[in-house]
Amino acid sequence: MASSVVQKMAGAVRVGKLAAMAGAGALLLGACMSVPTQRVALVPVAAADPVSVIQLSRMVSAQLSNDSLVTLSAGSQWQRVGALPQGDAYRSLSGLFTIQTRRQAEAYVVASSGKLVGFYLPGESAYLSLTRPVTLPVEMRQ
Amino acid sequence: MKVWLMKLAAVAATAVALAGCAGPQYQSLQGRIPPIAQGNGRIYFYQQQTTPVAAAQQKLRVNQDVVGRNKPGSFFFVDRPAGSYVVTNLYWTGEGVSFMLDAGQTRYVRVTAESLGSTGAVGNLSMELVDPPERAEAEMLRLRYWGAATPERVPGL
Repeated sequence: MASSVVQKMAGAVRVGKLAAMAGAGALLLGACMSVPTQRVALVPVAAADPVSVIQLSRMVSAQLSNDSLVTLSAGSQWQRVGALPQGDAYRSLSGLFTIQTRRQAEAYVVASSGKLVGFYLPGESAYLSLTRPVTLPVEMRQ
Repeated sequence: MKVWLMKLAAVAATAVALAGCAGPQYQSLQGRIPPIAQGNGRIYFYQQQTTPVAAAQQKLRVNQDVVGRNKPGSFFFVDRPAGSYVVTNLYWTGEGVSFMLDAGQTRYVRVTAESLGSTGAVGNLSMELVDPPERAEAEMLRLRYWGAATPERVPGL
C-alpha cells in the first residue's frame, strides 16, 4: 500500500519534471526564434487617397536577425495601407502573408526608397527591421 | 415509483447534457451560425487531432482575455471588434499567432497540441493561421462545436 503511494508520487514527480523540461525547452526555443521589434504606430492611408498597389517582378528573399529567411513571391501584389517612420507599409493582396518570429505573425512589407527595409506586424503594432535592406523589383504600379 | 421516475429523469438529463457536450458538426451548422455584427470580425479556433494522448486542454487567450479551451476534434469562435490581436495560450509562453482583424473578416486558428509521450500530458500548444478560409472550412467540416468560455457561447448551437 505504502509502496504504491510512493510509486504514484514518484510518477507525479516524473510528469512534473517532464512538463517543466518541455516548458523550459519551449521558452528557450521561443527566445531563439525571437527577433527584436519596436512598437510603432501606423498612420493609415486616408480614405480619400488613391489606391496604391505594387507587384513584384521576381521573388525577393530577406534574412531576419534570427537567421530565418522570408520570401516574397514573384508576381505578388501589395497595397499601400499606411506609413511608419521607417517607410510605407504594404499589405498583401495575394493571400495572408506571415513571418515566423516568436510566433506566427501577419506581416506587412515596409519599403523606403525602393527597398524592403523591414516588416510591420499589425497584430502587435510592432516594426521589425532588416539588417540588410533588399531592393524591391516593382513591376507595376497603380 | 416516484424514486424510479426521478432516477429516470436524472438519466435523461445526463444524456441531454452529454449530447450538448458533443456539439453539432460544423457542416450541419450552415445557416445557424449568427452573422458577424457590424464593426466586428470573427476568430475561429479548431483542433483536428483526435488521438487520446493529445486530449488535455489548455486555456486560450485573445489579447488579455481567456476565450475558451482547445479540444481535439472540436471548434469554437469568438467575435471581436476590428483591430490588432495576439492569440496565445493562458501563460503566454511564446507560441501563438498575431494578426489584424478587419470588420466583417474571419480568421482561422488551427491548434495543435504536442503530447509528452506516454504520460498523456500536453506540452506546447502550437497555433497556425490558416489561409485561405476555404481550406480552414474544409478542415472544420467534421469537427464539433465546442463552446467558448461562458460569456462567448452562442445560445442554441
